Amino acid sequence: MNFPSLDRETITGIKKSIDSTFREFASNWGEWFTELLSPIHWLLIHFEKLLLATPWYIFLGLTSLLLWKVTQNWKLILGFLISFNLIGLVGMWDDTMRTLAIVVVSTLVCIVVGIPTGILMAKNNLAQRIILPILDLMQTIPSFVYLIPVIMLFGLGKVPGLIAISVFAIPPVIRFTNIGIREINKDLTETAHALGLRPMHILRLIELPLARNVILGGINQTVMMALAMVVIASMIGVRGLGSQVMNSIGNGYLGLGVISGLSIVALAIIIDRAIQSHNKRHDKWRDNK
Amino acid sequence: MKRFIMIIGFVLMSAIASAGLFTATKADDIKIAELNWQSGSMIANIDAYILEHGYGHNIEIVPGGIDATIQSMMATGSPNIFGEAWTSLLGDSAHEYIANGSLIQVRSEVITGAGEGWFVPRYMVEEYGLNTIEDVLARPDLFPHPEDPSKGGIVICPEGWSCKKHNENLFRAYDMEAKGWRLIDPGSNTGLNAHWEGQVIKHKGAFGYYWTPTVLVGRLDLVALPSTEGYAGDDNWANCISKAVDECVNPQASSWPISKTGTIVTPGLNQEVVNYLTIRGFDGSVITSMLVWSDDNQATAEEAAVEFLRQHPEIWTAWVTPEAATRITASLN
Repeated sequence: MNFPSLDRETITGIKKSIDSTFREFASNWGEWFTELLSPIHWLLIHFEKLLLATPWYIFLGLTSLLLWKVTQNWKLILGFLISFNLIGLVGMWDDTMRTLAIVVVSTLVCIVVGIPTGILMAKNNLAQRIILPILDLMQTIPSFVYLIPVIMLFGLGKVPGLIAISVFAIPPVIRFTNIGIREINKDLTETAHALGLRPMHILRLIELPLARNVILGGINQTVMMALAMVVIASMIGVRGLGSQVMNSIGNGYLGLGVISGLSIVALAIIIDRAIQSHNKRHDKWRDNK
Repeated sequence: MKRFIMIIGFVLMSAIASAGLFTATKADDIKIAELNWQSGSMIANIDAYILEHGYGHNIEIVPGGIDATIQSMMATGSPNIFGEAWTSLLGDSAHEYIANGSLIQVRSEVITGAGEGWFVPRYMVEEYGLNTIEDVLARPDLFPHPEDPSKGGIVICPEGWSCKKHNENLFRAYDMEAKGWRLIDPGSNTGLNAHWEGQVIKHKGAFGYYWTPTVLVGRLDLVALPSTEGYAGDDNWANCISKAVDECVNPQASSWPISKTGTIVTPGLNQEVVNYLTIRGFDGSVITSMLVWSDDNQATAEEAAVEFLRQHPEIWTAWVTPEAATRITASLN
């Protein structure tokens, strides 16, 4: 027996009223939203241009220096140099830079929005109860459900790409910040409070430093998820390694698929190992002290 | 494990045997391919309804797509009717089959005015008098590219579609880069649709690739633009525009060719079925209006087919015998 559903006209009516409400909204507010996010759009375009314009040897040199400063792990740097030289040799350099650009900017957006949200959740149980299911929703809802409206609002290209990536990738940084702060021994914060430290000071001097490794773990997860989303982003017009993957899928080019897929993997592994190795070094330094 | 494989094998074999029995008992059925695009599946359902209710044939509708259907027709002689076959997309072996009579093309134009092209919304034509591709190319400022508003943007086909080459070569043929244009890659079919939809909702300039008959063209009221050069010939189109960019040295600007949509059947069909298929054909605007209707009512292809028969008796009664027309009219009420 069929489930007693609403009659077809009513269901159609509901779906159509959602459609027309959204169309109305997009036609009135599309311009306004585009303006609102134009600074991020500018950053996306210009950061990509900068990476593309940087000569490869300068990019390799500066990034090696940066990696050395954060990790002091020469094996990682060697791995980075080898994999990026291979990427350049197989002609994936420009696409790798494009992907790096959008992943870096998306991660920054996730951090700037995510860490304060995580702190709010840690401090306020009601906020946690409200935000947790929203995070679940963000990680499970099929991206195209919200991407189609997003493209209608913002047009094709980088901004919808950034939104797609950030919606999917921001939950870890929020969750880890929340957990990191909640896990801190209450005695510490209570002592600090008794000594007269203000909540802002407690946060800055005690909680954030102690939660640091957990939060970095969250950021690491966020970067990984951002990289996993570059293929979806390419389906709405973000160029980069993702569009090469799409190209290989669309035309059945196995070789191109392997090369572009492995380039994404290389990017992911290097970022992941850099953050982990930084954490390890930090721990060692703290234990010795 | 061995026993498990044997059981699986037995189940498979009995499934195949019963499937064979099943088709054998229904040998008189006519199988119509329901194509996986909007107009194709609606036409399949119209054919099915007319042949079933007008002529009393047993009809089975089987799902298909251009490649899947034509391959299956060549290999197994089933399905029997491929209603809206885009002949230019069929491939050489299918044309050989048609040439030697293994398949029969009973009609060469099912939908008039069907095809791909470069479109703009009608309000751009009316507000700025952009009647040709050349008119549009002179005004990149009306169609700002999302990432570089100083340039004009033309949306093309996503990666992996054969029309991407056509777009890229025409872009070069019109020397559009020098005229201040850049390509917009929509990334996917979804991206392409949402781009058109969004631009029209915001009443902004939009220019680029789409095809007709489709719901989108009807609902957004998009207009295909011709070139002042006209169609620059099959040689240019087949041997340059359709090739990869590095194989097309000297592309000529050209209107898009009109796509031929034919009806292809397997041999041995009942003559009255063939007669019907030979006569029936649709005007592109009728198909578009029916697609918009089904979109508005979120109707299935079958419901759209019935609605077409209800709304346009003046069209379909000309295709069928008077007796069949009476029977169909009776079944509709």
